[in-house]
Amino acid sequence: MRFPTCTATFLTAFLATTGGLVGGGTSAWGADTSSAMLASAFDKQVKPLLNTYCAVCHGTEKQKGDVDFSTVKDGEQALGQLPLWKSALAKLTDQEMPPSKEKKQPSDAERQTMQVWMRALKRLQPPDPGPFIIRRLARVEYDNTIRDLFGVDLKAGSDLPTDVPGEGFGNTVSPLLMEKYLIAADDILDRLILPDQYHLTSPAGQLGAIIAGVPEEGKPDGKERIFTSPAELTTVLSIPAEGTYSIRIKAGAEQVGKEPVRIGIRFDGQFVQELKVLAPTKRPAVYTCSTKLVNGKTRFSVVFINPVADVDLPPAAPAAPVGNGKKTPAGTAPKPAPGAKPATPAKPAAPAADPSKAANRTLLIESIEIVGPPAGFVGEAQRRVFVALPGKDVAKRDAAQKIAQAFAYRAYRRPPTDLEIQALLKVFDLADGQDEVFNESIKLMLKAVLVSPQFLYRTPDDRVEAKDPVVPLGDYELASRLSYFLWATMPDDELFKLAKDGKLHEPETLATQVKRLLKDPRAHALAENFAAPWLGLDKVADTTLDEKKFPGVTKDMRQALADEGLTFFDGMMRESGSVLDFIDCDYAYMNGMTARLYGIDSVKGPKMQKVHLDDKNRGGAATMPGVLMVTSTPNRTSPVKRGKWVLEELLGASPPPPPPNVPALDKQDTPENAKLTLRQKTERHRDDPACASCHRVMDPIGFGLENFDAIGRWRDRDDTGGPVDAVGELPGKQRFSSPSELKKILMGRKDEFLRTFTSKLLAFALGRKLVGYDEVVVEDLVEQMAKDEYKLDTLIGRIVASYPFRNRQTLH
Amino acid sequence: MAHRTTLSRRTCLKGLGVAMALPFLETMTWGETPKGAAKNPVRMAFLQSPFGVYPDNFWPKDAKTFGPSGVVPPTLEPLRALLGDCLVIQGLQNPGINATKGSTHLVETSSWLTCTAPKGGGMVEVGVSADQIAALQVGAYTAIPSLELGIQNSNFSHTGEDGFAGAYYDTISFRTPTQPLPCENNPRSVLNRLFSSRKSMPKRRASSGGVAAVGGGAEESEGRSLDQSMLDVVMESTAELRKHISGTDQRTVDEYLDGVRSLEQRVAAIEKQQAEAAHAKQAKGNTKSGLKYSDPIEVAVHDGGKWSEKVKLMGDLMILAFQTDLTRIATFVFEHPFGISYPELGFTEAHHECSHHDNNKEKIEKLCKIERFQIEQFAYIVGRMKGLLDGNGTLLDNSMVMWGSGMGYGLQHNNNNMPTILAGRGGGTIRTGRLVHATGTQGDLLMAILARAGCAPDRAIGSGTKPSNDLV
Repeated sequence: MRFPTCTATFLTAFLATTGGLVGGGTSAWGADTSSAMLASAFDKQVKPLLNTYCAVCHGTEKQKGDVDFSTVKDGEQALGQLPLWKSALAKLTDQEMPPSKEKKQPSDAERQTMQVWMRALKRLQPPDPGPFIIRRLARVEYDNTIRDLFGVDLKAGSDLPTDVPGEGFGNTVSPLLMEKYLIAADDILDRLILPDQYHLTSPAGQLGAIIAGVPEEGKPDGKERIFTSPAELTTVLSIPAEGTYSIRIKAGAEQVGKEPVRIGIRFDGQFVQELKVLAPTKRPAVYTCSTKLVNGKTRFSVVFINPVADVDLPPAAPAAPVGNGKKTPAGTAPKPAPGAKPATPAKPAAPAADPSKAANRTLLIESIEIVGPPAGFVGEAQRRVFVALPGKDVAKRDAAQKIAQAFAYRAYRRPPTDLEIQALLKVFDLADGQDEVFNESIKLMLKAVLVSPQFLYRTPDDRVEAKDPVVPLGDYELASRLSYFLWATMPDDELFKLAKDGKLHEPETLATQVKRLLKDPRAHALAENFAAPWLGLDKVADTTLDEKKFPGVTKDMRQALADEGLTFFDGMMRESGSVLDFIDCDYAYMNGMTARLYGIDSVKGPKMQKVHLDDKNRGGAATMPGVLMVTSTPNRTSPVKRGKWVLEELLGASPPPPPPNVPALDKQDTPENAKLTLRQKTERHRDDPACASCHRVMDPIGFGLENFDAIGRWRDRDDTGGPVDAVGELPGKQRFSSPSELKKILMGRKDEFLRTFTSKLLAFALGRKLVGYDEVVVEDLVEQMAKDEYKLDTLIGRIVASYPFRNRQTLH
Repeated sequence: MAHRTTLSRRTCLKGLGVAMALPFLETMTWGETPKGAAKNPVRMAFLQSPFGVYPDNFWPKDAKTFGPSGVVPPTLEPLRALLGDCLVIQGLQNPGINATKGSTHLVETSSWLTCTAPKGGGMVEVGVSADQIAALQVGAYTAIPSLELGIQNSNFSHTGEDGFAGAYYDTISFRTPTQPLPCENNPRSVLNRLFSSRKSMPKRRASSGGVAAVGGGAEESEGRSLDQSMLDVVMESTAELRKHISGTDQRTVDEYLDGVRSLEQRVAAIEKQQAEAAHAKQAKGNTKSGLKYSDPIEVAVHDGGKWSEKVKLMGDLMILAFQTDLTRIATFVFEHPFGISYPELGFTEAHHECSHHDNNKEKIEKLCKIERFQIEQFAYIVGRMKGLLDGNGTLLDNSMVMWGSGMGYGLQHNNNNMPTILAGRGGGTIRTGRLVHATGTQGDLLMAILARAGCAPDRAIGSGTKPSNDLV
């Protein structure tokens, strides 16, 4: 049995507070020594206190709450009753026991003796990383993983159910979900792995045109087009992948004047290439050029540059070199001179040309053809997939094997086993066996990867010997756990390399990597996936509001309100801020829109800015307008909801759901009740003992925030027109009369907040509910935070270094 | 996403929405039906609203005067013209379910079609729901075994109250005791699911290297498509994975495999239906003589909009799926019990808030408005189905559309007297136009409904023991 060092520390502390116990040098911190010491300490120190202060109600005579300390005969026995001491510890710490009405109260030192002993006992349990489950990728993780796997952001999971990562995640795959995974895989591969070259051929007559400024649609049966005035042949193309494309234009012309007919090729209005059309209209020829295009929609145009023959026109510009991308055109097309008059006598007209416009040149475009990049060579996704291609010296199946190996390594986020590779090759053979082209066979193989559980779930690295009940995570598993925690995506190349070299688990390396990952923009995922649901900001977009009462809360405003909290978290994470800022701080993030809710005029524009707050009532999560909005009803504030929010999200207390209304209470309702103020109505909760126990705590906290209306603006008068009554009191006679004083009280209870926040973040990192030993881990993390200015980034680093993050249970 | 329609040969885009025109149904044949092919299939839909009803405005005072031309309580008024096609069931109970304690609203959703009490402990564990029991038995006859529809986005993985899994709130369909089926909330996804078959890479004869055999008849469709063969290999290879994972995870993998197998069945069903449709098209004179079918309805898919528009749109998609026999089973959650409000009614108090009305007149009034509004949407769906010919009668005649709530009276959180309306004649097996007092439980009623759709009549549903006799 191993013990983390903190157990020893704790026992040392225990010894110090209790004035030293039975022998056993401090050098021998074996498990037996520890239990022997604790058992002996129970007999000598704790048992007498229990007899004095607790036995009256929890002894042989009375067993209130089914608790009876007299059954615990000695220290040996006491060690085996962890649940009893856990609950006793909670009651002691909250000063709930002994009840305040009892005259005999333990001194602070005595109370501490019992607490320290109970805490030390908790640490006697062996460390346990908690249940290990293979985790399915949540939708956002799926999207991001596909993005990083192929290097192209496809938003491929948009049809998947909206699940979010975190502790309550549903791992199951229904047939519908399976089908959606298959559809998504089809969609992804259709877009990335081209069966052949992209090839578009179209008669010019089927494409749209703008003739003398007038748009004209193409006809389904259209053939060639003939232009004799300023004109542009135009259409929108869906370019499937980045690469160099050939453009072939079959055209002919009737020349006028010295200058040949010139056409310009444009993409999205950017000039790419100029071509001279020399062939006659009777025998059109193919004119070609090529250009780099990125994937996505682009408007392709062929512009008739010089329809009007004008002797004064400058000679044709030399053909521009091939453009190196549509964003950086190689040249600019000279515009046709507006209003230029025909100067040269007409030549024999083209058959279709209007004789009255004989001075104009004639351009005939028969067809256009655009041929895409040879699949497998261009574009980031293709480069990543096609690590080998069949050729003279490479057999098809060998190339497929190399591709499978490389792709599965990244998609499974660990080296694939031989059997896994064989299975993939079997899929390749299925398609190859019926003479599919190589790319199609590869596509089927990749599809198998994308619908495999090894991809859809994060599965363990089987190279780790799993003989013990608990094993450290393999480096690959650790890399995944780390990257999904901080980035909501698969590990990047550096993490892969460290995993491959077997170095990632080294404490210093791990710490360095956490720092690196947190600096990366991708770490914003933690704000989106952890902070937003925690603070309730994921609900801001859909919260119903009374539009008459709160006009102007637009979609953009809602977005900004959610962004405020996310930026707050993000800033704290990147600037080594203190997590206590969630309770209270002197700054907030806002943009021009949300600054109005703060009553601040100086902030302008749509960008989120960090603003210093002079108003002590503002600052901290509870006073963020977004949070105040989601804890309101559509037309008014709700002290109950706000109180519940503070209790649950900041202090970690979870009030049970309210009991249904009992008819007896209905009868108390009288018309007079309608005249009651919100406070009076809410206070009725406390008349009923069934409601009082929770509302006594919940409501006063919410009333402390009554100065903020349902969208978080400050107000001095409430809906009835009377002055806002923000007076409240918490158990323990802590009175307050403003949001600022409430925050002070909360700051006084910062240990509860730190425990809550740390627990939530640890549960998110582990993707499961916290159980058993996790409590000890949280306690240690909280203790360490106090020594380090409560920095969020340090906490994240310590969570990654923590025992349950780095280890897992095995089958044994 | 690549759109390829299975049934539709003409798909036209109009403006921003998608309007679909499908071929005449005469060119299609029904898939198999459980008991001989002559009869039209019986479809069933389960529509749920939360929080029960305000009794005074919902329940008819007198069975004799209740009817289309008689006395109709205010909440049921929108249904007046259709009451002849409805059975209003009073006094229905779901025994063994305590909705008055603890996380009452997840109990009302999760027990409604399962007739079992959900278990706590952070995991989902509850009975299989009636719609899924049916899907297992008759779902194989259609391309889609069952549809699960909803309106709101629900986040399927929050932690619920009292350690209950949040998924209990979000759906009324449970495929296995541990597998809740999320509702489809996006009409576009539903449309995709109904009418874009996946393009499975067809199997070719290796020698010919020629054109694929799609819809070319029964012989070719006997062979497995490459996708199916690929999935076979994927399934085989999970055996290796199983060695390295725990028991819980093995169950996860089992569910995964089950998902893959169901998917394969669905692919096979689609291919078969396509082949049949192609056959029917070839044999042109072979249409169903004497029977009349309405053209499939046109559905314009749009985003956003008011709640009532969303319900109508989802309802239309459900009707379209029934009409084209893509599925015979649907669940539809009108409102998750999260306490949403209905600004289109002119006030923003949430439904849940109003249900706890404390006998406040204003709140009761608003509560009744919301309840009536929900019945209005139910009436829309029922009315539309009544207007569609379906062979020997209307689509409604060949359906059972059940609307109800897992709670009786929201104020008291009880679940005795759960409001229930059953519309449609179940293929001529239900005597409608009545107000009846339930003699059986919710489970018994569900058993009676399933039996009429060709399911085994002795398969118990939760606490149900025998099919109820209340329908005849």
